Amino acid sequence: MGAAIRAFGVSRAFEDGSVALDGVSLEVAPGSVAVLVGPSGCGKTTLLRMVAGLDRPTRGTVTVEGVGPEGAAAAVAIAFQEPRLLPWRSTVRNVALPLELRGVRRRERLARAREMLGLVGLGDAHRKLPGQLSGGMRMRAAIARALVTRPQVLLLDEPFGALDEITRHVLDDLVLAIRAELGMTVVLVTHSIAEAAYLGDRIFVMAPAPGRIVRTVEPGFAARGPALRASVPYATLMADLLHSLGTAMAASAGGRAA
Amino acid sequence: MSAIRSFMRGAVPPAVMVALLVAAWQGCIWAFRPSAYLVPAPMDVLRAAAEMREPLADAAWITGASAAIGFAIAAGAGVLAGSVLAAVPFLMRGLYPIATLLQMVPLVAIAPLLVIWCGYGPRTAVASAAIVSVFPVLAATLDGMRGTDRGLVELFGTLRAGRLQRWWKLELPWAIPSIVTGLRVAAGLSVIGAIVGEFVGAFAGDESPVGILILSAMRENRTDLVFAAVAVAAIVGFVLFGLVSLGGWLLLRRWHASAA
Repeated sequence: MGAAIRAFGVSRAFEDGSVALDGVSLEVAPGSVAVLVGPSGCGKTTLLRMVAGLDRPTRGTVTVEGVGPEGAAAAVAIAFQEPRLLPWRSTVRNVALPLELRGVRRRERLARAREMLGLVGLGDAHRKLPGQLSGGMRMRAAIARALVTRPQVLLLDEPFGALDEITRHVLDDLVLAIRAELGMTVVLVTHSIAEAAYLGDRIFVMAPAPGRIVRTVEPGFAARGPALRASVPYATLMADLLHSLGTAMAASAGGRAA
Repeated sequence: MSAIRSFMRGAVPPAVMVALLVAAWQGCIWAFRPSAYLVPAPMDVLRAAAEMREPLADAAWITGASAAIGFAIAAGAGVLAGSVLAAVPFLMRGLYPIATLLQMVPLVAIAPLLVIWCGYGPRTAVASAAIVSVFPVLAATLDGMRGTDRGLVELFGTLRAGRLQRWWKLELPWAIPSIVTGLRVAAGLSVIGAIVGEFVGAFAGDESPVGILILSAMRENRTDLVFAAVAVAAIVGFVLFGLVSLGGWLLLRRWHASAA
């Protein structure tokens, strides 16, 4: 089976001469969870934005489902670091927004939005305004909005970064449940090693200056859950990822000093 | 119960202040005994208002209508022009400084031109009200739209929203708090504009708006009636401002609930 997402020799340089990405190549299998993990400035969000069609590489190619990101726009949805909900709209109308912009009839789009809210555990909150929701609930609503068009690829740009640890764990499991239910490919950007180790079927460890992939890891965990978080293989994987990141950071710092 | 308490909290202090000011006014009359031609006593003003209640009520209605129509035109034109300027940076850079400059021109200086263009009668008052109140709406719309959250603009980009969709579903609602502020300023200004228009574009018919009533009372040395007419003008402005504030509150309910 072909890759759902493929990047080949992708570089992104800016006008001021800084290089966000340098020769990045990766493949993400359909229906898998890929995680881009690394420190700030390693280009992981830039790469995700290219997959979403929000940015373009200065060199190299990115394809989604075999076509360029612009051509695959309908198949891709993204949830950002912040929920980005419209404050004057009820939760259900926020979730229905992508369908509304596509001209789906009101009754149908609200029904589908309610269905997605149920999927993310917000079935009772559909009439509430974003300001009446907690941070975790807002993030769930943002994910429901991303899911409402039934995308083949779901991009998550550090969506849980501002949440507390317990809520993050709950939402990590929610991502896995959604993937199991809807079967889409998920790409998650995070700077949390614990989150990367828990969620990733394939983990791309990235380092900065310039942004690049320094290691690819496939944990191969058979099941996720509280037992995994307490397990030795999980702790070992986190230590391994941390070591890889530390080594890459040291190499980047050495390169800059030289 | 809390609504009544909230109303009392809002209404009692201004009512007390008005009572105190009227008492101070009457106190000054007793203390300094100025000529009634210069400063009439509050009771004289009330008496004049009661005596002329029908002409004053008619005047309030005519001026209020001119101000309201001028305000509505300004609101529509201001929101539309502000939206266009916000959407086209070239136009904004070219036209906004000119609009700012034109706004500095005193209304009384251009009012005679309005008489030339619109003729004598209510059209001049309407045009004058619209001209004086359009700029606050335009500026507020422009500011509100230019302040649209960048993250939401990017979200609409990822959702492949069209330009009109972005305006209608994001930028316009986002700018509503700012637009409402502009509309409230414009509501007060529109009454001023209407009265200035009435001053210069003296009405030809039998109906006398507030501006004409003030001029007539002044010519007849009826300062008490001038005061009464000014009070009526203030009430017209207050009612228009109140209606716009109520409309703004209804529009912004969701914002406030969301911010709570």
